[in-house]
Amino acid sequence: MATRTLPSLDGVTWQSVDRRTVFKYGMVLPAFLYAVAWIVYPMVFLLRLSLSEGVGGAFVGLENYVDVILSPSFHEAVVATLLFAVPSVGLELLFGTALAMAYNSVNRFERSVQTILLLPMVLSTFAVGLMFRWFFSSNLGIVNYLFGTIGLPEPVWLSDPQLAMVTVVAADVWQWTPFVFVLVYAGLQTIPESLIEAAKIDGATRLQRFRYIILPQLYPVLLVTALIRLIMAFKGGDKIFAMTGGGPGGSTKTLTMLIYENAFSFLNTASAAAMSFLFLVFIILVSNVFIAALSRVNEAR
Amino acid sequence: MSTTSPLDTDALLDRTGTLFVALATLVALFPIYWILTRSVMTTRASFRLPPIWIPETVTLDAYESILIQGAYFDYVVNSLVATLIAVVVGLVLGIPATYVIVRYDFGLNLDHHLGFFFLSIFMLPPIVATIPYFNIFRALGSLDSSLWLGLVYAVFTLPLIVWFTRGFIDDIPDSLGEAAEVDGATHLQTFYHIYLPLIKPGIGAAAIISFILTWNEYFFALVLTRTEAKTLPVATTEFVGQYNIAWNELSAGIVITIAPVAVFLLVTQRYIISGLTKGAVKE
Repeated sequence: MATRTLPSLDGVTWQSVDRRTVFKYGMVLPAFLYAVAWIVYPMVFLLRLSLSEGVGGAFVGLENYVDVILSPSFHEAVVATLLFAVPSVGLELLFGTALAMAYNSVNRFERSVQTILLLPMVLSTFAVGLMFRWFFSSNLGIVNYLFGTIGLPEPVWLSDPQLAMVTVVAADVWQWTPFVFVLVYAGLQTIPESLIEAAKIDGATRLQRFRYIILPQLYPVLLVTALIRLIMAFKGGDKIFAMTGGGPGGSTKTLTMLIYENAFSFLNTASAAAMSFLFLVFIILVSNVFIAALSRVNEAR
Repeated sequence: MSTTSPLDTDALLDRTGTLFVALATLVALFPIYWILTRSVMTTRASFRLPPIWIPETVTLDAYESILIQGAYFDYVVNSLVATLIAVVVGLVLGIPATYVIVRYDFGLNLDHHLGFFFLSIFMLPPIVATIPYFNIFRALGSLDSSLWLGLVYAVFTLPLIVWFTRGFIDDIPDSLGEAAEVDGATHLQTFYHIYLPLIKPGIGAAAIISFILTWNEYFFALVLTRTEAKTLPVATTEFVGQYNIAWNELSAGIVITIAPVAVFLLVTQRYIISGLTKGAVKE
């Protein structure tokens, strides 16, 4: 392989092989070392912290991990994280795919429509959180004003433990449906026209074509999109921070919020470090499930 | 369903589709329209219900109050400094790395592992990284610094840069680089004179998405800055949690935070989409 750019093996001297090696490592090492310094070293720091009493404290083995795994607040945070991420991503996939299908089949929209549809996803998640917090404010919000106008009940969205999560999910779906839309729309463009034409000739209705032709072709894109969005939903907390701060009564206290609280409000850094590692393991496991599914789908074709 | 012929179903779906896209456009636009209009009202008008749907008078009081009387302008500068450091450092490190990962064979599948290593940085939750960063920064005395914040952000642009440019590099036929090398170009010259100009759209896309995500970042800025290096997303919090929220000022703050990226999107939409989708659709 090292010789593929040279006309014949006679041209290969130790010097030219060397230059190639020096070049490729010279190009990749700065970025690699930078990432090691900023990621690997801090993670080692964090691991050591999670096994000790606190910053610079005595070694306590797995004590912090045991405490965290047994604590109800950790369990609640895991549940809250899933209750936020799974419905958000599920709805985004549903709406985003529907939007991409609609946009693709109805070729009468201006380009500016696409720009507007994409706008939410480039905005600051925190700013979006603040916006939605205002919209759903019980007495000053536009949502309750509109609900009142058409005679619907006017709930206290953000102070109700169940509705608070619904509200946060709504904000997330508003912001990230466009992301699914872009990727699925691009995926639709890669489906060979002939495949759809053939199905049309065979008399397949539009719904049948979607179910049996388009959807299977979209599988890889949908898996990649779902994975990216799930990771983002798990690790993000800006929106919850802006809208509820984890409340009311801890109903929206996701892992990110719990770790933040322990690390920076309660100064319970060692526990926060242990939670962080468990959180990381969880994200890696979920990612691996998706990556395995993706390679199975890819192999199947 | 059973009583309608396929043709009718198609026509119905067509109309439903149009309606759906129109509705989605409205839903996407309304919150932004709302914030924009509230930001040019007086405080009293901004929280009036029933709301003022279309403002009849426009005032820039809110902008004046946060930019000139408040410290908002400093936050704009802080955000800009940290973001530019991140994008420049990220690109300078990330593009060469992506290039050799895609084009060169490292043996033992190392190129693949390196690519995965960079991409996996994306999986790391910011909150997890802030704990060691905060402690290390405090020990080094580098808290509340735009430079250090930018350097932190730079590492989190790496997965995006790899993701966005990899497809563009891969699209260029290998024979082009090989021909240059046969003609006596060094590896560096091939990279610099042949590949770099050809992958400009990819670099543009990577730069834009890195800018957007860094500009919007909240957690690192919250934990690693205090006053001197405070960024825009953190500063918008200042309007909330007080007894009287000045909605027009909050709106103006949000507009200032989201305006640069909205303009960016308008101008560079094509690059963002191609960069984003090349990474996802290819894999």
